[in-house]
Amino acid sequence: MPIPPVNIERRDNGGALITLMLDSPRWVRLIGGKSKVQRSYGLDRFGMQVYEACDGKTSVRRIVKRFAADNGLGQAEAELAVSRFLKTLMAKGLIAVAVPKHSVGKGRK
Amino acid sequence: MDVPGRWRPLKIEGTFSGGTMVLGRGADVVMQLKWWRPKLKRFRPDRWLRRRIRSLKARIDDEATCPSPSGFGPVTRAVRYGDKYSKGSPFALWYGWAPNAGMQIEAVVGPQDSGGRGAPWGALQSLCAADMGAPTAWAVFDSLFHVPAGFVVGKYELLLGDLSLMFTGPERQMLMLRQIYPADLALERREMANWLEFSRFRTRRHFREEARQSWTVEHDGRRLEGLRRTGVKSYPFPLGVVRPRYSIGAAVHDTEAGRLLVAEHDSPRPHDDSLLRRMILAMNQLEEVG
Repeated sequence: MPIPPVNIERRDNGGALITLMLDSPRWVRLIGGKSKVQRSYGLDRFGMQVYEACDGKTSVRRIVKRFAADNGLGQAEAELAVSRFLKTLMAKGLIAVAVPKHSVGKGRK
Repeated sequence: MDVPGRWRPLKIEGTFSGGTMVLGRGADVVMQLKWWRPKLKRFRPDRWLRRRIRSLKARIDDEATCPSPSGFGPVTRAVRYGDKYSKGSPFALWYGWAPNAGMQIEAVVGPQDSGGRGAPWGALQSLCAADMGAPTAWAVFDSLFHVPAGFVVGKYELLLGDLSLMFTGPERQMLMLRQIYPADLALERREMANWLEFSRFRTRRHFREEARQSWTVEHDGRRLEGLRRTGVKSYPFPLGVVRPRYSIGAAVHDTEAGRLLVAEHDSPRPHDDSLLRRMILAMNQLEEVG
């Protein structure tokens, strides 16, 4: 599911500039910096296809299938491209994986 | 080799002379294939196989049905017990010698399929090896490259949306084939002339351009437009006269497929663009265009 952005600035070529408000790193806060920092990421039209498909309901398998069909790619290539891109989106804080509440903390005592 | 649609290559490494490929279903390893081309003229596959099986502490499995793909000489099936990864179940081994390709293949099938049935054995039955010195086809995802006889893959850089393969041929020839897609996005970022200049493979020779012109290839109603550049590649001063290479490079935009098709041919002697023309037309076609 996507992290709600502060702003999405759409471009003519189908891409967009997505601005997010993220927590500052701990060391920045320790030296008295701002607790929140604004970050912008530019996505091209293929990136936007995947980003917009992440609505918290559509499965990754379905996103891959749709991406492959829309761009005339094979299933294997689309699978690799989409999964790598989703990892990048997660690392940058644009999307997050929702974990069911009942499964959090299981296995720990 | 025909493999089920759910299989994925988990790892591919090596060159023409030898390498390894690991195939899997998702993240589960199904089969490992090793290939190598013995350099010895007096290589005897049967003697080599006996030694190999002895060194692996395996035993030949005579009873099991052994896939025997066409073009392969002696094929053998063996089982290997006692591996720490197999948890008591045996790994199945398959060996095939392709005399026309001069290639020995070893396949290792995991314990779950080691019984002799299942998809890995069907895939092995469909195995085929290109004859030594014959034209070869290289498929990466949905992209297809055809290479003339005598050219052997040397380097490759396979990135999603940018696939480059470099082949070395007879008389120190070099052929680089590349496909970039989606073409409209690639051309938004960089002009076609810059795609032609920018190579994934670094060389020590400097390129001195002699001519650049628009270029069109046409075949069977297919018309591709682009650029062609010619020049000489040579070492920097004072070694400029040492073995210069005559180079022709071309890039075209295949609007139907949405791809940029790039090819470069270097040779110690001046040459024309006929090979480039054939290679570009053959990209993504089922058969090489004559």
